[in-house]
Amino acid sequence: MKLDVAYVGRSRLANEVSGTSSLRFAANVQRETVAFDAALRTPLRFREAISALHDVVISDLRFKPRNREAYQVWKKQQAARDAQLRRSAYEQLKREILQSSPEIAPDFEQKYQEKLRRYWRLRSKFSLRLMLRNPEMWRLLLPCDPVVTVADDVVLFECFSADQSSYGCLSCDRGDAFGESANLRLGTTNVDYSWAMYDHFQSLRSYRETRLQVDPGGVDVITSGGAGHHEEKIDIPDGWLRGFMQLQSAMTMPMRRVTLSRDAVYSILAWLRRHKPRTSPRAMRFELVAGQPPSIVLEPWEQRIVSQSTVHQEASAEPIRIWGARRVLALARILPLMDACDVYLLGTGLPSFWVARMGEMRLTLGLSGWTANDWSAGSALDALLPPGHVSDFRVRSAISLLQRERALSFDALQAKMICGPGDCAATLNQLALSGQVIHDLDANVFRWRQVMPLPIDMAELADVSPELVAAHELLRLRRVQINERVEQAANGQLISGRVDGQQVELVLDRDGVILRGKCACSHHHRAGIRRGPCQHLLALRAVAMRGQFTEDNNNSAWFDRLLRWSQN
Amino acid sequence: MAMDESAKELSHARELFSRGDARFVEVLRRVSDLQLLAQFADQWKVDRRSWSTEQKVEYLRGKPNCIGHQTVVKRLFKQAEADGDDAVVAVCAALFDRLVRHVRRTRYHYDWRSRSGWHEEYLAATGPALPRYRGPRVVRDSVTGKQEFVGVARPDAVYFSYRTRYYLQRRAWRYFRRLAFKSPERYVAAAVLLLREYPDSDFQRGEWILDSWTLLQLAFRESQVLQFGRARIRLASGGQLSQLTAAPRFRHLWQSMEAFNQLYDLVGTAPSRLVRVWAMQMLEQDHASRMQARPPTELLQLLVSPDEDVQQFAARFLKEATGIRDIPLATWFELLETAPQSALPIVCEAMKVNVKSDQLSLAECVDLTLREPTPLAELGFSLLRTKQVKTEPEFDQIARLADLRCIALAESVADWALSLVGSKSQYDRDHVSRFFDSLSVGVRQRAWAWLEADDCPGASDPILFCRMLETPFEELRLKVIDLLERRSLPGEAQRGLVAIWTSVLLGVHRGGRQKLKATRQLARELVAYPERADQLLPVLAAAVRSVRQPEARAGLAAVVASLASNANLAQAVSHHLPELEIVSAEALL
Repeated sequence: MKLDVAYVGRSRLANEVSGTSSLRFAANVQRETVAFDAALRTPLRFREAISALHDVVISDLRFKPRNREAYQVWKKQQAARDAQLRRSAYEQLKREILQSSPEIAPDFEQKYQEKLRRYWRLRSKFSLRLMLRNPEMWRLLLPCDPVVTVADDVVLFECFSADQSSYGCLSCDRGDAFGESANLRLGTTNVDYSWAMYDHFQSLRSYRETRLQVDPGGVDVITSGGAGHHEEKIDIPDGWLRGFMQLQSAMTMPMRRVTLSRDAVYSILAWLRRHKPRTSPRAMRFELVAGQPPSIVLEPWEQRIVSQSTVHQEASAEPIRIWGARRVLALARILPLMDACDVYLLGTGLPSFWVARMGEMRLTLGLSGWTANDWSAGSALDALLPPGHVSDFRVRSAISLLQRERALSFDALQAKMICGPGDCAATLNQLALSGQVIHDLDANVFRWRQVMPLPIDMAELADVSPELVAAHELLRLRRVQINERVEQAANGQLISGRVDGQQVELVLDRDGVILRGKCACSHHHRAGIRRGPCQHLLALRAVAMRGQFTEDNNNSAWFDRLLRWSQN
Repeated sequence: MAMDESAKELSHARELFSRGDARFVEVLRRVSDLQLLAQFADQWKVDRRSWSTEQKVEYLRGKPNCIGHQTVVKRLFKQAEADGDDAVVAVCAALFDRLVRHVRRTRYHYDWRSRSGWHEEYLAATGPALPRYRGPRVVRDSVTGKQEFVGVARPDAVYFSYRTRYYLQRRAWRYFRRLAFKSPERYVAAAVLLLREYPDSDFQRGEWILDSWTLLQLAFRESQVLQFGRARIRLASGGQLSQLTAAPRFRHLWQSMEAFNQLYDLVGTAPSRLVRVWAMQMLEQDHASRMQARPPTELLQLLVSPDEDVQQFAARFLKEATGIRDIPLATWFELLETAPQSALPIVCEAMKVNVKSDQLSLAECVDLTLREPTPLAELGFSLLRTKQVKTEPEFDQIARLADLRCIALAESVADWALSLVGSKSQYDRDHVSRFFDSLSVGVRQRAWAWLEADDCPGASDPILFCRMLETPFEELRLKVIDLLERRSLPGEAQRGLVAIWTSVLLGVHRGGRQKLKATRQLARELVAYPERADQLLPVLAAAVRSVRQPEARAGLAAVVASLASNANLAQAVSHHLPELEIVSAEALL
């Protein structure tokens, strides 16, 4: 997907004649006009919080291969001669093709998709290199311009990480964090962001008055090519948008809340900073007992961290495991400001949201189920989506209500929509998935906020793997049966079963990752699990991980199930 | 069939030729019939239109991989030779040099008498690859039994035999040789046309240089490194290509003023490095005095060349060029903007020597120092050091050096700047605090070193410390903790320490040793000011509950020490650390 943005000038720190300085954000002139101009009341706290948001943006915990530059140079020299030959052959072939002007081949679409995949693979490889060598250039590859929302009560700064697995949202109370805004227009827009802007944040001090400006000046000067006017066409990776929207959709669902003290969060971060898990399981396990302080166990060391000054008020529950815990290190910078941290959990292997409360500010760190936002993440979350169709009428009704009120609680919205809680939740889920609504977890309200200038069509989100779609269909038709589970000391467990009439065997490690599989289907026969597991293995894994089918008959049943889970 | 296709293509080419269409060469290259091409070449070679000559040059510059086209090449060459068309002959000569290509290979010899073997390197002849076509030869796959056509080369698919190639090389050089005798006034211009025909790709391998007969005859005939044979050129015994220096045939013809201009032009525009280096050597050998008289502005143009050899060459002459001091400052600055990265040190060096510091204002010097590539910053700093700084606005300018981006110079520039703005007579906390807030680690480190100096005027300035305590940089916070072990902060600054202690104790990235110090300092503060327990104990609780054992032990020790000093703190400790059981000393007894 291509996102067009245009800014007049660059975001920068401007020093005024009066001695004050202004953090001036250039807003996207191709979107609705948003304006904000107020003094920062606590610049130091804001500096630390917004810098933590920057850490979320640049967070990239994907595997980084070792540096083989010298070898690559040698290889390049060896290939130079061949490249010359290939180039001439290519030119000749190109000329021939252009002259003969052939019709579009039937496998054109398939080839295009293959090339596109290759393009993104190479581009992400290039991006990794560039991130190490030249962060300024690397930023140009990233769709990391934050989205700023100016609402009645808060200002929100949102971003999504480079590795497509973390979401950050800094929410600042307008009354306490900022002074009176001289120029105010509510709405959502992108703002220009660069590495230099991060450096400017570091210069915030309490003894210099600093104003925060979302500059709407561009609206009057939209002449293309004018002084300072620059446009960018950001090529958004397929998985990026999908990951972002999945997290937004997950945020709207009922979740279990666990409150951790600052000391507990510090201990988690300090341990993760010093230790790197070499073997599975690598999860962070939440053990919750009613009336007792919540405790978190860091696998594989089984290091228990107890949140001493908080008590889990809700009912006890079976342990919940989440993966990719190192991403929580993005909270390190705001630890000195933190009062406490609420962790919202959807379930084992599903997204989690860490809301760090810092007085007048909150930083929400959303983590997808896994650091690698891949099929396994999608498969788990897709199973939680509402089963029933949401009528257009209901969607339109919710949109008009939220546009008018800007922010509504769930109960208020349900009352105004005059529908059941299941349908209301399903509608909000769909709006979040299309990037129009955000759930403010701390305030527990749903806010009208369009991530993109226009609502995102489901077709624009990247396609999921066809094997995954087929696996969902098998689950829906209940054609999965587990025959045997054998615990293996070294490798987790061996699961054998019958899927769609096929005998299937599967070895899962302690993190639920497929290590090996056996299936008679053609997909598995061709490449095993190297090109992703086949639909039968995926379906068997889904049942093995969940332990039961979770298909609901309608939205109400779906919502009731999630609500029960979050409360018991 | 092939004949019909060739005839069609040729008639198309003829049509384009008569119309003067630019697609002519492309279509002609598709014709592969030798007879038809020969007939057409006879017509083309005598065409006198300038467009026709341009097409000849374009055609001959093309890759020699068209079947049957040797007849066209030969006819065009002979006609150009007869007409005295230097441009076409030059293109032909370069093409013939390109047709001879040798590669180093290894072969094995065995002497049956001594029963020993050895490997030997030799130069094997290769040639341009000509396309193969699916000919009539059919083979049967022994496994599948399927019949397959096998690609074979056509009998006429030879772009001259090697003997002919050697002959053509010799004949092309003969043209230039005779030109030098018969029309010496045309020789240099024709030779320069030839030298411009060689791109760098022609000399990718050392052996390809030896294959370039015409070039070597023209430019290195008198070299002792080379041994010129009847058809081939070899390295003389003990000679290496790296020792090759300009030694042209007909050197006297290269010593004229016109030749100087041509050589000078070649230095900037020749497509191959070998030719550029040759031209530079020629200029140094035969035209050194003319080079020194060259206007410096022209040498500056060479200085920004992407070729590092050319930059060095220009720099050598620029040092002694007359009038270099008269170059306007704007030209120098323009040069700084346009010079490639590799040329910047040379440009800056030249500027350092030839620009006086009074030509630049203090602000301009500071601007230059703040720029990123080290040579620019060095230049700015060298000019800056000669300036006198006296007035308040001038000190303001010096304080801007805190924004320095060049890592290499950060420490030295910071030291120099702080010696001015941080001196006892000129101390201004607004200026100095900028160095503590600098984004450069080196600058911050030197600022701290300045603060720790014995006679530092800022050492007892509470406002400076108050500002410094707001730093977002971890290493400064850790230094503050270290400093507190030796002395206390002045006045109001003491109040801002809680934020520093909190940041250090809750830092996850570094500061293991400072954390232990911070817990001790917190305990001391708690004992001294028990009324601040609600502010200090939550910070200490983080250490007590830390998963890191040394921190937890130090935290616990700090709490116990505080309680031992002041038993009234027990209530506050119970409130903030409810998991601790406080037992009185009497109970223990």
